[in-house]
Order: sequence, then structure tokens, then C-alpha cells
Amino acid sequence: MLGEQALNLIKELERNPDIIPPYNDDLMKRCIEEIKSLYQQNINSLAELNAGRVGAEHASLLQARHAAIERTKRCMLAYIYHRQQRLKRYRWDYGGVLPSTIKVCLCEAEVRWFHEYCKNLADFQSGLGESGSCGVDLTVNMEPPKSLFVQVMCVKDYDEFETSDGTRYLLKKNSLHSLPRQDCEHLIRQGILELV
Amino acid sequence: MFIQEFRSQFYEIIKQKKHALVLVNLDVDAVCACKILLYLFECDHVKFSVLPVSGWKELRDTVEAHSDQNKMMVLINCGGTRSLIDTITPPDDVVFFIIDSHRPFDLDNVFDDERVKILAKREEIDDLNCPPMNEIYYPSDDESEEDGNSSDSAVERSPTKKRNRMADIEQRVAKKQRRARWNKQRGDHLWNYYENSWYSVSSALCMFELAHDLSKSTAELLWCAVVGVTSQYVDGLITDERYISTCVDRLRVHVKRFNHLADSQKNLVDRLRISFDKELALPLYRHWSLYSSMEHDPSIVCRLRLWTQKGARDMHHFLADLGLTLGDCQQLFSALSSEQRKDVVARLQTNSDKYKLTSTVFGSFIASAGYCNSFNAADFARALGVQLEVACTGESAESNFFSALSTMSAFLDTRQKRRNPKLVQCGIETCKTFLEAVVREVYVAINQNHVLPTGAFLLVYMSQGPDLRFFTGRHSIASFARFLLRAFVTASANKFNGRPLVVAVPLSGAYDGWYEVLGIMPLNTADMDGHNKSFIGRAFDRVCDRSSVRVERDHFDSCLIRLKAEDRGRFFNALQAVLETVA
Repeated sequence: MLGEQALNLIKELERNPDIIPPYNDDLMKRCIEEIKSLYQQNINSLAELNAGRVGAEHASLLQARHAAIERTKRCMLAYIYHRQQRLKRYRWDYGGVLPSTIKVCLCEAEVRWFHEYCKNLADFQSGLGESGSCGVDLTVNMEPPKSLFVQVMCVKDYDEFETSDGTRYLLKKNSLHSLPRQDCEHLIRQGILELV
Repeated sequence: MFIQEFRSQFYEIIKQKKHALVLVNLDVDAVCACKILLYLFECDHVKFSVLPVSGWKELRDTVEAHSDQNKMMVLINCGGTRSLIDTITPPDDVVFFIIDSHRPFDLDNVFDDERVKILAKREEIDDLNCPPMNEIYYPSDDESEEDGNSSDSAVERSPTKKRNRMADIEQRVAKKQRRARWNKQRGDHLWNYYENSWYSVSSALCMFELAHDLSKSTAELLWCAVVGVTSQYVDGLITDERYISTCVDRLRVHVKRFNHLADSQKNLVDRLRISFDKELALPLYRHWSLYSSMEHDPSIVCRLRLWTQKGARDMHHFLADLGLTLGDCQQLFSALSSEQRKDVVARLQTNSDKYKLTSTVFGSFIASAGYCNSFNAADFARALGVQLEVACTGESAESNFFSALSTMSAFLDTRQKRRNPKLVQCGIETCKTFLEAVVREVYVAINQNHVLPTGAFLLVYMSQGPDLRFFTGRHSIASFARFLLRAFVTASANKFNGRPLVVAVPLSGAYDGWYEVLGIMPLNTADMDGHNKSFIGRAFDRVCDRSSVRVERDHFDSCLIRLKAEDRGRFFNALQAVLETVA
């Protein structure tokens, strides 16, 4: 059936909404083949039509084929565009270094685009703020935090801890502290602190 | 040094420093006060660390460990009654702010202008009757120098003028006499000042008034203050009059204000609503059956003498007289229909006089939010108190403190759908088992004559048993002691009305071989200046000074001490002697 391959491309993305599925080179190629063959058929038909060898009813066949071409093309573009969107989201969520599990799923062009995107973002960020400063990291605090500090419970004895603004805390088991959000994240991950 | 302007002299200073260490005693009032203070700190981005402390030793260790990092220390319900500088010996640059409901304050703390700041209301400071400074601290350095000079000059001049020397000697003798007189006077002053210990206004209320002053008060904070005040009442730390006057004068205004706000925003069902109303004085009856609740209420138990066989019969008569069916009484109160509920409460109120039941009703606060059961402040305070002292999870006192704090937070969380009264419910269930244990122990003590009338006071040793795990802190032992004293006095036909009761609870674990000893005042004690004053702590102190018994006076409440088991005979003999001289 015409356009079935293109539909499969879209379905594949639809089935895996949270990840980037491996780049389906095979299906893409088959879509291209399909477009090519349809186009060739159209050219042939057009030549016959102009020569007057077939009746005017063939003109509508021509239009149908053209619509099929357009649709396949749109599906392919959608496929590429959505993958790009997902890739972009990874940049904001995980930072500039892609994990290898994701990397194997990308095609060469996508990897190139990703590096380009990272570079642009870095350039933009370093240009922000006053000249001489190191710019602003736009990827932290994607949702506006309710407060600058979070309340954390200390569940293991830890030594003295200094926050980025120079305040010193002594973290001991069974004590409650309010710490700047970004400073204590790694301690939470280590299991020394617990969010209240 | 007393601070009267909480806002400018306490809060603003901490706000500038941006970092404070909050040390909290393990009682309900302190938990509530801490909750309010943390909310304020959070609003103003003040960084804080919170550590619970259970006694003087822990307070000293904690201050020592943290004095490097924190220079501002806020002490809630602890630290006021002993000289901080002497007991803790902190570094010079540490400043203490004391918010303490224990009275009297140590005079060293009161007169330390630099490092110790005590938060107290103006009207209270006059009540404290602090002796003037010059009568406590002898202006010693000038005098001694003068002394030295005069003696030197006397030696120099002695060969030349005899008369002068005589005058010198006379002068010195006069000075000595003056000094002795002054010393005696000082002793009297100190004796009068430290004679009694009592509890003053709740720290949670002080913190709430501070929050109000900062225009940051909310209905949630008000509930904290209400629970703090009510916990003092439930524990018998403040007199009924003082409780009522506090509620009416200082809390009801705020309740009205917030109710008005809540009424104007009717669409918010989830908003916390607090009301001030008459309540039955039965423990936990909203979450229990009426029958069980009555069985665990001291005044009904003592009135009907439920520890006797006749008592149970009397109870049924009593209920029949009230016109309540057993079926209604024995099912969950919340499962009754709303007419029945109103009816039951009204009957109990009107018929209480007939049975000489005093105080079946008291003014209390009720909180309701959303569609869940409403909570009475007294029940809430009881649940938190039990949660603080009875290790439900088998863990340390510190983790109990934080579980109580998170219970409070979960109940008060204003964010939509995050309000969670489950933890309070859980606390109330624990509280039920605790009350059952108290009643069981009281019955055992009365029926098996465990109370020993030893002259000036009554003495009870609690026996080892599974119930002992409930009696670990001041709140639980004191509830048991007050219940027992009342029951014992009733059982002995008011013969021992004027005797204080001392309870000794054997400890286990790290303190195996020690007793926790708590003394409470006699039933007929008249209120002094509207406070429940107690001389027991002072008596304990004197016993420890006079004899060499092994005792740990670690608790912030001086009426509670730890005693080595072998020394108990000597200790109680000495206590007998002390109390007899007082009486």
C-alpha cells in the first residue's frame, strides 16, 4: 500500500514516547525509494498525457500519486523533527555529554547537529551577563524553585560542610538543616541527607 | 539580660547574621515553637540547623561541637534555669537567645549583658521578682584592692601612729561585719528567688506573637501556638485560670481574625479552620468510643472508683442515669449520628453536677480541614507528647522529635492535597495504648498498695513490666503520677491530701540500674501568684548538696532526676529530712 512505510516511521516514534528509538535507516531508504518510483511513474504518465495517448481520466491518477509523495515526505520530516526535539530535550536534561546508550541510536547527521547545538548554546550562555563574567548557566533551575533553601535531614554522620556562600555547617546524624538547593544535591544523592 | 522587643532585639539580629543554630528541648511546646520559628526563618531566607537536646549534658556537647560553625544559638525551652556560661563554657563570641518557659531563670543568665539574652514579656519581668544586681554580686574588686592598700599602709605607718592603727582595725572589722551581713542577705534573696520552680507562658505562644508582629501569622502557625498552650494545660504545668486567661486574652482574638478570613473565602474547603468552643474534658473521645474514653479520664475514674469491682457497676448506673445506651457508648464516637453526638455531649454537660464531677467541660480549640475528622487541641497535644517520648519505631529520642515535627508539618501543609492527618491519627492510636497502660498501672498500684506513705511524702516504685516502655519521659511519668496521686487520695478518703508524690521508674538499656525519679506537688497545693509552683526540684537539689548520693540532674525540669538504684534508700531518707524541715 502506498505510504505504509511512512506511517510505520511515525508509529515507531509514537510507540516509544520517552526514548529515542534507533535511527531507522532501512525504513527511511524504502520511503525514499517509494517517492522515487512514484515520481518516475508521474513523469511517464505526464509524457503520455501530453502526447495524447491516454484519456484525461489519467490526470486525477497523477494528482493522487503526487499527494502520496507529499504525504510520505511530510511523515519523514516529522520523524526527523521529532527526533531532533527529543535530542534537544536531552541536552537540557542531561547536559552536553550523551550517554553511549543514546549515542548508538543516532545517525551521523544527528550527532553532528547535536554538537553544533551544544556549541551554539555554550556560546550564547557565555555571552550573557556582564562582560568578563562567565555567563549564566541556563540549564539549572528549569522550574522556578519555590525557595532558595531546602530543608534536609541528616541521616548519617558527616564532617563539616561548607556551602557556596561560605556558611559552614556541621552535619551530624539526626539534625535538620536548611541548605542552598544546588549545594546539597550531591549529598542527597550520596544518601547523607534526606529531603524533608 | 532580658529582651523585651522580640522583633528588633532578637529576630532582626538573627536575620542579619543569616545563620542560626536552634536547640530544642523534647516537649510539645518546644516542637510547636520550633515549627513557628522555622517558618519565619524560611520566609526570610535565614539558614538554620535544628538539633533536639534532651538534657544539660547533651546541650553542652552540642554547643561545644557546633560553636565553631554557629555563633547564634537559639535555645527553645531549655537552658534558662542554670548558668549557661558556667555549665557550658562556650567560646566568647557565641551569643545565646533563650526562649524558655521554665522558671525561675538563673540570675547569672539574667545579669549577663553580652552573651545571654532571655526573651521575656515586660509584664512578666516584674512578676519574676529578680533581686537587684548589687545584692547578688558583691562589688568585689574595688573592695579587695582597697583592703590591700589599707593593710599595706597600716604596716608602713604602724610604728609611728598607734591610734591610726586602731582605727584601721576597727574599720576592717566593720567591713567584715558589713560583708557578713550582706552575705546573709544575699543568701536570703537567693533562697526566696530559687525556692519554687514553675512554668510560665508557652514558648510557642511567644513565637506566634513574634510572627504576628512580623505580619507573618497564618492559621497554621496559630494552631501551633494553640497546641503549645494546650500541652501545658494537659500536662498540668499551668493552672486552669492561667490557661483560660491565655486562651481568652491572647488566642481568641487571632482565632476570630482567621475565621473571618476563612469565611470570606468559602470556596476553599481545604483551608484550616480553628474554632474556640466548649469541649468535653474526656481524653481522645472524638477518636474513641465514649465508654473507653470515660474509663481513661482521671476525674471519672476517681469519682466512680473504677479500680474496685463496684466501680464498673457504678459506671453502668452512671450511664443509665445519663440516659445513654451502652450500645451508643461502646461504638466509635465518630460513628454516631450527629444528633446523637450533640445529645450525648449535652447530657454529659448538664448532668455532671449531679455526680459531683467537676470540670467535665473546658474551653478548647478545635481544628478542622477539608472533610476529615476534626481534632481537639488537647488530643493533638497528647498525641504529640506520646510520640515524643514513646519510641514507636524503637529509635532514639532525636528521631522521635523529628517524627513529631513532621507530624505537625504534615498536618499543617498548606499546599493542595498534601495536608495529611494520617500521622496524627497514628499518634492518637499510640496515645490510646499509652492511656490504657497508665490506667492499668494506676489500678495495680492502688489495688496492690504500691504507694508507700513515708512521713512527709508518698513514694511509689514502679515495677518492671511490659508497660514500662511507655514511661520514659517527663510527660508520661507526670501523667501517671498525677493520675495516681488523685486516685490514691480518693481511695484513702482524702487522708493524704497534703503530701507530695514521688515516683521512681526503673530504667533499662544504657541506664540499667538507675531510677528516673519525679516528684509532684500535693493535691491541695494552693496556687501561688497564679502559677503551679513546685518546691520539689529545690528539695532534690538540697538532698544532693547534703548527701553524696549518685544522682544525675540532667533534665531541664528540676523535678525529674536520675538516681542510682543502690543509693535510693539514702536518697529518700535525706529527702524525708529535707521535706520535714520545710514543713
